[in-house]
Amino acid sequence: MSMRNADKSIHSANTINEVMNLNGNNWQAEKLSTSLSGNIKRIRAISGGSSDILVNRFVTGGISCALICCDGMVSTSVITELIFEPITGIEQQKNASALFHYIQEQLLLSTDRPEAEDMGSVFRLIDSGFAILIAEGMDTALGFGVQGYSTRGVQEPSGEGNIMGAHEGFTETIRTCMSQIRRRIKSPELVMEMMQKGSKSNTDICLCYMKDRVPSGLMTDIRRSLERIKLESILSTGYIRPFLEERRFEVFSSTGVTERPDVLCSKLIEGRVAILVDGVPFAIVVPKLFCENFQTLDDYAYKPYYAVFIRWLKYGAFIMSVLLPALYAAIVMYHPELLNSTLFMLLVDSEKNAPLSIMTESLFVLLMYEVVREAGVRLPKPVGGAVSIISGLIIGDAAVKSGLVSTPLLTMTALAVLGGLVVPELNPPITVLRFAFLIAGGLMGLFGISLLACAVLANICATEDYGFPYTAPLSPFRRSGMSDTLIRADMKKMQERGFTVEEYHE
Amino acid sequence: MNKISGKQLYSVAMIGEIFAIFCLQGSIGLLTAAGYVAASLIVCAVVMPFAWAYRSGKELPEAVEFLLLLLIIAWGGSLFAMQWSASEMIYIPYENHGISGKLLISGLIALVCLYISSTGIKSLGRAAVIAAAIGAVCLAVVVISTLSKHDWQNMSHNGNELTFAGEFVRGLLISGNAAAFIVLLGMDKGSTILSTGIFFAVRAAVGAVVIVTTVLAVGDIMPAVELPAVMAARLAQPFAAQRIDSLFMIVFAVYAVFSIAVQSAAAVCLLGKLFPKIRRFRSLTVLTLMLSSALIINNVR
Repeated sequence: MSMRNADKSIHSANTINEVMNLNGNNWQAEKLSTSLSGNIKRIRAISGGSSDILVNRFVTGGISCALICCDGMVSTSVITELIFEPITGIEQQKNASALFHYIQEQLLLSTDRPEAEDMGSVFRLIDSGFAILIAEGMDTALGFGVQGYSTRGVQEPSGEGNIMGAHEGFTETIRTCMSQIRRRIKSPELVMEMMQKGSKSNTDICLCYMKDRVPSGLMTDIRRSLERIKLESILSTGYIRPFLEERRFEVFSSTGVTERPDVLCSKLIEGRVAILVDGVPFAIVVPKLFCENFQTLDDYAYKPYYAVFIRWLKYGAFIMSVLLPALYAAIVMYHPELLNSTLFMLLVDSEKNAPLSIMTESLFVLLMYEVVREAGVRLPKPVGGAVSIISGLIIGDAAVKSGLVSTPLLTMTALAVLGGLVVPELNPPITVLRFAFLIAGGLMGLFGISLLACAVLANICATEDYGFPYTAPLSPFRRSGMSDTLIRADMKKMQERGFTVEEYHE
Repeated sequence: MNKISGKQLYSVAMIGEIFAIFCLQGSIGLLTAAGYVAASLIVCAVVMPFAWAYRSGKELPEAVEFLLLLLIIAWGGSLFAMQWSASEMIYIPYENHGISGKLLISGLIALVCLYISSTGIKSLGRAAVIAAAIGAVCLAVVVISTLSKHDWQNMSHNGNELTFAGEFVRGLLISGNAAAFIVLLGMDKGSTILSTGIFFAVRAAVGAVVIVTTVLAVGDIMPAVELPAVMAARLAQPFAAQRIDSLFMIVFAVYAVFSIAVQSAAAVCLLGKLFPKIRRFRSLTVLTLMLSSALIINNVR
């Protein structure tokens, strides 16, 4: 028997709705009947006659059966070799129950063989790539794990590059992601709990944690947060993160994401919880601390002195990226006495021909950059390259030559933008804060920058999820945490410390 | 329950104390430092019974809480008035646009304070630690550059007209932050008595260092100076080719915001206890009262 002979007849939706009651989700709890034809009819009706639901009817062991699967979700070769060939060769059986017993006990068709008793389970299995066997006289269905949908292979992460670590990132398939973690933490303490979220999408979500390291209470709180999700679909991590973040307005996100299995493993060992979402090559990490934005896996591969240098370079780049355009505008517009005479004359010389005020000029350049960046991200890659050339060479060069933008200002903006790219995870808040500080500095000078800095500082310090302050270990201060925050201590010392995130709980 | 650690309590309270010294007007000398230390001892003695009361789990009587609320609002108003006076010497855009400019500056500060106090005492405590640390670094730069450049004879050049009694009273007058400290002490996680002792010892020491540094930096021109601490920051330039005045201005603005936010947070806490029916706009009410008292204080002056 081949898949080509599959019954693909499509019934009109109207006819089906007339025959079957499809209002609401009542069908999910509906039990299977003992009639094969009745079950097939019901499955077709629920699926609205969808053309990718394949029903293969055959007789084996003297009993009429049907194998139902979803086209494109199963492997044709596996289903033919491991299901059809052994099943069709079964000798005469007394009844359907004996047939199912024989298949379960005597045949080793696949490693994953769940049973389903209701329509909800049947469709969950079909939509997950299982083949479902139903038979005349049986009110249960047998599932066989024969998934064979095409997936993207394991590739190098696109946004979290590193030099010395592994070069593999998560993929869109949740099972592959789980195996990538398991391969790195071969311990029974690593727990992976599967659940489904999204009333329509039924997206698989996996909660990962080390049961001996995770702080008591954190799991209960996270489960409670996840229970609040009543969305119809979960299509990215961004659908879940707001439910895990407790405060309404946080400039910086208190949940992290990573696309690297090795980074995630280090977080799990520190007692954090990870959430994998099927179809998304990123994992959510809870809780996240501000200082973690400046840590990379490479820090632990280099000698401590170099790691400390790189880390401080990142702190400096972050501050520069947020404040440099604002400081330039504030100092040149309101506090020129801060500049030494040589620098002052240089800036006066370049700014005297600019037709716009420094703040307007800065806003213009920054907005231009954001437009170019957005265009580069959204456009196809070959066109994206052309956009970079046009923006960099033509617009930039023309703007300076025409005197619309001064060279020092362009340099400051470029430095600020580059600084933001050093800490990619903070890029969204950096972008918005850069604009906000520029406006504050342009309108009120250093006083305006100071006021806004106070508000931002209060916001960061108020960010706290599940009792873990975002600013830990700086404030509340934990001296032990400094060995991996202000500096990067020697690995032997860090081994002695045996850190878990519970140290920062308030 | 909103509880803060000892370090957070010291930071929150010290910011207000240092800001009050920044805004100190008129000539100062070594006697000012002595008066400040003596005033710290007296205020510490006044606060200690409250620390004992908290330690034994007693609640403050409502009348005392009401008095503290009035004191905090009055001190918050004084801080606004001090900031107005000091901002005349520090360049803040639009400040010289008369009363509208001053109100704009105060309105902006009040707005930021409103936001900070709305985030709660825990986040205020955490933010204050970071702000205090940044301020401490900036102050250290000023102190070191002053000590390395200035003539020690400046110590004897000024302050002839000062008396210990007068400076002691001045020390007491700039101790209005104690009311907020008493309220915040009730939120201290650790030993309240120890926290009180440590805080006033640190207050006396840091205050004395700042005053002595100011005297050292300003020297002969003290009689002509309106705000000695601000002038000291202007005179203490550690680099030959680069001025750092604005570093002080940033510290000034940050400390102004936090010192008023601390008063506001403490007042909001008391307001909630004394008038539980007022559930909304507590911070706004408190800041409006502070700004009103600032206008009164400014007019009385």
